[in-house]
Amino acid sequence: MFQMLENQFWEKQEQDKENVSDGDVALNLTKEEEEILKDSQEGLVVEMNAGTGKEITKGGKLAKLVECLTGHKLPDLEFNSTFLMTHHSFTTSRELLELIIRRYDITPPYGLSQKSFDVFLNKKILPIRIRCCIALKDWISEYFDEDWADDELLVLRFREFVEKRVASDFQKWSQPLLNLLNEKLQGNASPKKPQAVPAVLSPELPLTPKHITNPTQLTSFLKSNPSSFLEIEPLEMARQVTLVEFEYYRAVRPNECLDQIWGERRMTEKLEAGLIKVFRKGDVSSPHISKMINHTNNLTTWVASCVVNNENIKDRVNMMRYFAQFAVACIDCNNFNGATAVVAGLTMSPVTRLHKTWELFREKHAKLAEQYDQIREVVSPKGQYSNYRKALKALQPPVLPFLGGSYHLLHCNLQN
Amino acid sequence: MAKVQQDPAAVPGLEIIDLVVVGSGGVGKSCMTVRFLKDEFTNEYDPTIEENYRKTITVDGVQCQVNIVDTAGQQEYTMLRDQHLQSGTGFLLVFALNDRGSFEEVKELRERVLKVKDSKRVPMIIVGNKCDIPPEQREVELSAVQTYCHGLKVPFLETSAKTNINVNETFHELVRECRKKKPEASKEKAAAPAKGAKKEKKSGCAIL
Repeated sequence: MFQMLENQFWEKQEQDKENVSDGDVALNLTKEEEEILKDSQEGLVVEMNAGTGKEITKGGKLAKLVECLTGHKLPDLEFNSTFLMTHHSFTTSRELLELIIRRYDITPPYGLSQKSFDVFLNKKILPIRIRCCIALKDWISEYFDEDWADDELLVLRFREFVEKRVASDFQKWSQPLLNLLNEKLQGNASPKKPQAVPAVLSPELPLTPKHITNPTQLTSFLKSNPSSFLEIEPLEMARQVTLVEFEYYRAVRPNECLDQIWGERRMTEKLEAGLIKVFRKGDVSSPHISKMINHTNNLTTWVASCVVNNENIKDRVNMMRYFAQFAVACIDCNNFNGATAVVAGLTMSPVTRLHKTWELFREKHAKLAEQYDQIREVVSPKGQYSNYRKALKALQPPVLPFLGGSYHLLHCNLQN
Repeated sequence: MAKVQQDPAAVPGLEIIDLVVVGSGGVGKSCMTVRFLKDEFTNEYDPTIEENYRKTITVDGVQCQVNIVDTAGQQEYTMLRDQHLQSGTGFLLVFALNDRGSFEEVKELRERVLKVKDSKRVPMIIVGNKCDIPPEQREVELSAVQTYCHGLKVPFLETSAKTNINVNETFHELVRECRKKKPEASKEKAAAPAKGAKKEKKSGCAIL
């Protein structure tokens, strides 16, 4: 439905464009009329891409950016999707909706002659209004979960606007817009479709200690003694950790990556900036990423504490061996997050200072120590995780990346 | 430890120094780093390229190559911090002059660095960034910082990554600090990791 409407609209725009290039005589536009049709570039940062010769909008004042989003000229699709995705970093969804509505209600300048008025109406107001509808459609269809699902006020305001304003102007646009929203709202209420999970044709059986036959037994066995987990094969441990982390990882939404200063700090900033009204502790702007980071931190701490909690050097060496094997197994599972966490645990200063323990470990398990050192190189932060990134590139998915290895890239790109 | 990697770009005999930039979120670590590393002739900066994190500079007439680890965006990975600190020989502790908390963080970071490097003297420099802000926005008392840094014999500089004040000077000064510690460091290195024979004690609690 939308496709058809949109195509019609763009075709018409194209035709008009050709007409204009035929010479303005055909349309008899006066200089003044051309002038009023133009959008000023003031308040916009536009850069020329030297390669393609195309103009790229890099930034600008909010109202100006909304103008770009809904301009009466041909659109920059890349700009539109970037803008909709990133608008949270400088405004709220509600404000954006208001701006789009205001944009929709654009009025011609005062004192136009009847003819100029008609030109303005047909060449600018109408296309802009349709562009507003298209923008709303894109916004809802692409970012419903992020922006619309939990914001009743936003939905309400949208409905009001579409039912009252759009319906009276463009019947053929209002109904599909409302339908789209309703579909999404219903879809949201029903259980989510399972996301794509890499198909494993024949999952191997878990490797459990021989004397354990069922999950309850396993639980009580693991609870019986803090170091009983040593009886679980490191490979199995890595598999289980990978499964847990994968759940965290796949819950992460793209726009969470945009709040570069993660978690509470960002929320406090938002609160101060008036972007949100209340901030309950534990509410974080990038909840899934935060969960994943928390998990990683916990794993790291656990690894370190398991090693240092043993008073006997032999037990510590055992722990080191176990975790080194664990790290190797994580890499075998393509789990960089797990590997990084384990290496970080063994790199925490309370552990690294156990010089004698390390010495004994290297002596007794020379080969494993070598493997471990290799992994340590891979996940090392040197060269801004360049080894890690190279390794990641060379692998075939499914892969569980270490998000920390990519954050600063975002950080850098957003800041500079 | 500070391992010299088989670097294709490395010139034989060229001194290689690994620097780590640390500090709270939003104090301008990335800005500092990029300001220092960025070639003035390029506008686009691609952080995915490893070569972008190293630069050959001449300090006091001697060339050296600095490799930089920028810890920006890693603040939430509190437990991974030691790993970052371990990878450096010299440290740039950055705070923002308009954020008192970030200066407190620098104090903690310094302790952390000493602990991780297991040494009383580690080459470092403390930097108060954003000195371009108007005076009324300053939250950190200059004299307090100076007293603190002076007492510890850590150099202190006010910088502005935004307007490029003292950025190069900071890195040059840090290179000097690294060179000063070098004779000591190599002695320490021989005695410390892996082969070290110090009896381990109960490690102090990590305050996190």
